[in-house]
Amino acid sequence: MGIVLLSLVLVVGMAGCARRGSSAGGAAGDKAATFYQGKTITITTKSSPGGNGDTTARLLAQYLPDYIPGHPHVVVKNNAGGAGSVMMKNVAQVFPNDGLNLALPDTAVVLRWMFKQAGSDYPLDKMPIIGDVTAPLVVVVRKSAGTDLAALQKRAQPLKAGSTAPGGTGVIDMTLGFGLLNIPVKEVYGYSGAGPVALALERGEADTASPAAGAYLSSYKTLSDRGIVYPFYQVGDPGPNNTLVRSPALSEFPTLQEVYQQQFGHAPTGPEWNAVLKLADMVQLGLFLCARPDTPPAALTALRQGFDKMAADDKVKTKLNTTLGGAVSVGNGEAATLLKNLLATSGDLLTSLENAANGK
Amino acid sequence: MVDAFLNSVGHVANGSVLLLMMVGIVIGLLTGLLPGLGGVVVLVLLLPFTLTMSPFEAFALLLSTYAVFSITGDMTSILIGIPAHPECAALVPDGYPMTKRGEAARALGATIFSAMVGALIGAVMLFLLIPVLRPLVVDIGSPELFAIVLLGLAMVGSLSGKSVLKGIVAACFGMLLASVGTNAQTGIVRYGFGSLSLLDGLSLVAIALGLFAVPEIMELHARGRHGVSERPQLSGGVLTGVKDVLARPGLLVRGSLIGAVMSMLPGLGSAVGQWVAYGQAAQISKHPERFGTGVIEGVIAPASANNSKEAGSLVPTIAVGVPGSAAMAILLGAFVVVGINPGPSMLGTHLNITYFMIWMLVLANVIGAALSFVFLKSMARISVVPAMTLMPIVSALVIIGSAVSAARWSDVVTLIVTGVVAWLMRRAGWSVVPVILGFVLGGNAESFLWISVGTYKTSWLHSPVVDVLFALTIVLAVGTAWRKSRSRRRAVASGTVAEADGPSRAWTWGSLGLAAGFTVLGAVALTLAWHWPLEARAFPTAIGGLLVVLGLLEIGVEVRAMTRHRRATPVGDSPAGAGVSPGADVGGVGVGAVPDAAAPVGGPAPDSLVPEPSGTRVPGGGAGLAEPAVAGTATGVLDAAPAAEPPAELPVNRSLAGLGWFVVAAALSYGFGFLIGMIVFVFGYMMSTRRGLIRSALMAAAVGVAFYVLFVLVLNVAMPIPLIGPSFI
Repeated sequence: MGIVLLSLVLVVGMAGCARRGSSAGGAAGDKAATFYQGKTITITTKSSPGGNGDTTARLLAQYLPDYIPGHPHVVVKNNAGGAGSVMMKNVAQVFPNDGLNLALPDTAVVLRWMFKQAGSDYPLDKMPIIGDVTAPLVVVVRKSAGTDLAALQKRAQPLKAGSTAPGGTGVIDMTLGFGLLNIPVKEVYGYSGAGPVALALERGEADTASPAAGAYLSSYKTLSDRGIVYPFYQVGDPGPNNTLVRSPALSEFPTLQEVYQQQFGHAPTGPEWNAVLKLADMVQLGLFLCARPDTPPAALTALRQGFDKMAADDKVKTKLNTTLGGAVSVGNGEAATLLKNLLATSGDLLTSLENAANGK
Repeated sequence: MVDAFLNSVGHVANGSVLLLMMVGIVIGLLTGLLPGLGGVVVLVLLLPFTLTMSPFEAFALLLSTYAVFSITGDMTSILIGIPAHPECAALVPDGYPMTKRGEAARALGATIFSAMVGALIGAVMLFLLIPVLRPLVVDIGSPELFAIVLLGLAMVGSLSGKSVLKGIVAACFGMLLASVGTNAQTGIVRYGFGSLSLLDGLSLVAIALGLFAVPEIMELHARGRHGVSERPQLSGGVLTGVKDVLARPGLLVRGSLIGAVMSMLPGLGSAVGQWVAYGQAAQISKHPERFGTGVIEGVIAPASANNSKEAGSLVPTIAVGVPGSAAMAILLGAFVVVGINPGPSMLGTHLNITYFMIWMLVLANVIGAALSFVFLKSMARISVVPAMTLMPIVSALVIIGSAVSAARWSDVVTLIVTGVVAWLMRRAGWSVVPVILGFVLGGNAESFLWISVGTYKTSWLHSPVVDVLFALTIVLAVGTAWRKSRSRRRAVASGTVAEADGPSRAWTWGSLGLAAGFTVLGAVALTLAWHWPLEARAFPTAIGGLLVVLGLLEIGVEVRAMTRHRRATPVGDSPAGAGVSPGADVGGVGVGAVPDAAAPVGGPAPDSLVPEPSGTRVPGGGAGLAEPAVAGTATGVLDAAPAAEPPAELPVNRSLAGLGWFVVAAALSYGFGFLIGMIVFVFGYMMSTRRGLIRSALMAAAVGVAFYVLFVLVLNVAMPIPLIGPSFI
């Protein structure tokens, strides 16, 4: 009797324990149009709830179902750990190959892969990209630290650049940008997020910071409106012939290239500038949705079609713009090219980026 | 201003707003009971629903959920000694011993009333002071924050139980745990040992549950068919708890203000305020040594701080657009989603929204507390449920809670290891509270110190505010040590405590072993850190060095005590204190009473399983033998002495068997996923404790269904992947 009951309990448990949606893997050969009908896609983010990646993932989860053929349900799961490595390995290697699990890595995950840091053995170069949401960077400077380039260059003390930790695009941005402009800068790490850095700027503890546009909107714009800080430059979007152009959503801010040209009278060149161009590629790539390498083609087609349609919709553009501070999508084709170029970085250029990421 | 106020009242009266507020309150109260889940996760799950709402509707839903979340979180701390969230851990040291004494209803009554009043005080403070608080929040820089953190660490003395030295060693251990993971200054991974799981450091949820929950689970198993409390009468205590709070207005206001002010400072973390409030209550009391034995002051102070923090953390969020906590980061996201830029506009064009938010905090807390009071007596009955019935359910919740907080199994390992260390510490008379304080504050201390040095070099040391805070820290630390020493001398002189009072002989050896273990740990930490860059090694080297020195000192103290014991004990007699638990240590609540042995000497009649609850009678009136001693305190109120003699220890082998079952539950979950693992575990445990086949099967099925519905269907939280494969949960 006991064995029978125990077996019953186990059978019931086994029957119910399969992850929702995973039983639908048999539909692999269906057409893209019907692949996702009645299914649930999970977007996994390394970001903790409330973080920039999490907000982006939840916005995508809100809008994607309307555009992906079959109108699947989309949910978000936070999978922190290993600075994004756990999320990437789970999506690329562990979760079922059913087209229902997507990762939303950011540039930090790309940088870890490029720098071959511990735990970066996920197949980033083989993971197909579905689409991206750019993450523009805005360098802000406290007015009391100097209101123009000349004043900043003449400072006796280096600018104190507030940041959470070395290794991110913000640190690369400030190290390379200020280096090109001959402005002395010293990184101060340890702040617990973009908000506390904004407070440090307001109280004069830090002189400069490089927040993502979303953080700029929520925590820094008010400082700018009150005249405490000013937007010094944006990195800008990659333009033709190794140039940078203003991001459409941040059109009022000059690019680093413009500030440089105004001061020195010519376009920047050299290894540092090449590193800045790589940084611009990273910013343009921003956060991107990707799938495991062997995702069924029908699923990929449906996802890419859906993402591109969504990104082209003015309603979504407006929401991304207002919520994430000017973020847009460059389309999955261009995002894939950006990622490929970034991952191919090597030699002195890679060393320059790595040094800049460490504030050197 | 008046227009904005009236406008906010109009929005509060809106039907959809009130409905959403009620929905939020119910969600907050229910999910607050789940360990490890956290208000942040619940808020983020609600966020998508707010995309199409008006700002008022969105904030009604989010704020009401957030406002009441801690109320039910506090309940688990009191009823089963397990904090549902790290922010509720400070309720354990005194709340749980009260439950053991049969005062669960009283403790719960005091907690909910304190929480409600604390929230109201926080809201009123927010209402009155927002315009002037902005400069305060902005002007407190990293040097001041570092000094505040040091001041918080000075509370260790008050939270150390009998031995300040042991407390400092334990705090150093906590700070060392905080240094695990990627260093913010250099980017190198400290004490990572090549593990991906340690890149982001140890989880606060796993550490808090390990320190407080695992030892309790072990003891739950040891209690067998007895409840946490064997006192059959639960009625009447709730009102007593409310009266306790009303009799201590100073304590209530101080706790509330501490909670609100600490949460205003971005970067400190939401778990700090409750401990500082608890520490100051012990600090001000004339009998700090009673904290940790189940004194009502130890419940009121952290409970009031816990709920006033919600209003406090709103200040930087709405006034300067900087989130004071993770939950506020989500709220900030909601601001942006509904098209509002937080900052000065919240005091100008959007002042009506600010007032509305204050209304929501007030109403949600009042309604949440009222709802809680309705169900309080039923909740208090958990304390008389047989421990062996609670044990498998609590084990399942704790394991799931720790694993899903970051969707990784390594947190379960952290949970078990920390739990074993905490159990050993409690048995050997060490307080575990300083460990969590060290863990919470250690990382902050390091970050603020480096920012201060990097920004101001040494000039920050000349800041008057910093110097005053440093002076306060020294006064607090020295004063605590002196008062503890005096209190102990007096107790010895009056015969209340024997000179050699302490753990049993076996556990004296255990204490010595722990001291030696911490010393070795400090030495290992020092050695491993030696080759790191200065910024990465300075903190762990300093803490490791301190651990070695203080650990050796503690070894000396232990050896001297053992020698005295040996000399003082006639051959053939058991040593003084044998069979007596450390009992009165703060955080030493895991060593509970075997109910049959819990009757105090000269206490209640032998047929009474637990002593009379302290404070349930009018102090000074009708003094029976079980009547608590009362003493005036600096708070101007009466501080009840512990009602019972230190209880006998629960059998070690049964506690270890409890650990064995817990590890089996974790291993089954790791192997087969939570659903199969927990069903098999609950069924196996119930069968082995002879609860009958049908009951066991029903209980296992209920746990399985509850898990599936709650965590998979409703909350859909990320789960770590079991060995059997990713298709299993």
